[in-house]
Amino acid sequence: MPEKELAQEVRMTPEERELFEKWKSKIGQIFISQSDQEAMDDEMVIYFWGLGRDASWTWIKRWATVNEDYNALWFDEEYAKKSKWGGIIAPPLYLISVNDGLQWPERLADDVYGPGMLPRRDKYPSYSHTFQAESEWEFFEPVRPGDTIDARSKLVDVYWKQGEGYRMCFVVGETTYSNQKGQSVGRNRSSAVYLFK
Amino acid sequence: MTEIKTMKREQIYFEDVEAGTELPFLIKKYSLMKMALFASVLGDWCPGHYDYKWAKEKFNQPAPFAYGFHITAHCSQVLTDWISPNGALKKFKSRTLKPVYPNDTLTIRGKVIRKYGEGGENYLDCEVWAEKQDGALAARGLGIITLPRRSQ
Repeated sequence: MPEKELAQEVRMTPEERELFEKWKSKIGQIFISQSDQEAMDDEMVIYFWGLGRDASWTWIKRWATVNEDYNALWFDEEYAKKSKWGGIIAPPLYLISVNDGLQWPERLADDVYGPGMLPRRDKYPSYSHTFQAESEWEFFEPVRPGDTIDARSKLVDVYWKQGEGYRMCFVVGETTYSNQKGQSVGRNRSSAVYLFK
Repeated sequence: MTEIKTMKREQIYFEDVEAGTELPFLIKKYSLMKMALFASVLGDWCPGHYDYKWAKEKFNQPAPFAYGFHITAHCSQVLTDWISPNGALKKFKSRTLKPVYPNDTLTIRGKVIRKYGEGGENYLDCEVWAEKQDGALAARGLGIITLPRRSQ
């Protein structure tokens, strides 16, 4: 990939290079999520992964309502029954609520942030901020009320790119989703960018 | 909970659509409350998305900023609204380009850019984009959908 070739051209401090090598060494690893209880023990609770794993109709409606998406397919059983879906389904992007695919990109943030989510300026003085870059989704089977959706996230790539005014470190995770019948429901590729001045 | 007024659209068929066909646009208004509600279904409680002080001090942002996935979900809706009930969203890719803050309004638009058949399915590639109230492009995406034929 051209991005990887560019990786050599981006200037890095020794600390940044060490960080890059550490992250790269994790490529291929599957993310092991903390339990909610473990998360509560953390100083700063940010993430509860997998809220939508148990896809009850109540939760599907909550997701749709919060997004102000009142498509009758998610709400009206009689209407949905007459459609090709044969019953209520969840909006395709409901999978975000199961797992937004950013587990890896977020977990690596632990290396850049210290206590209280403060960037470690001592070690990485050029670090600016991180944002979600791109997400790509594929949908194979709809999520239906009563489904249990499992998600597995793998770190698939870490690379640098020179941007306008920033050096950018991309962290890419791939997440696969399956239901209780073992059917593949969807796939996601999401990336976050760590910006360094 | 008050009763929700759901949306039922007339089915759009593959035969009725061409490359260049524009999709009905969608308007989404953002507020601090809506962003906090989104946190509650996403499970990401990063205060930068609902706390002014955090957003300013830790993210160098003028105000709390909407979750990228909030915008992603809204952008996908312009497609699911249009193809329902019997169309299907097969793939969706999106990128957020500008931060969205409370009181911002996004107008989300879509356009068919390619129409083709493959493996017995009727595919359309649609570009999707979200403009802020000042016209700035806040997000851009691409959706691949299938639609039924009238003859099917």
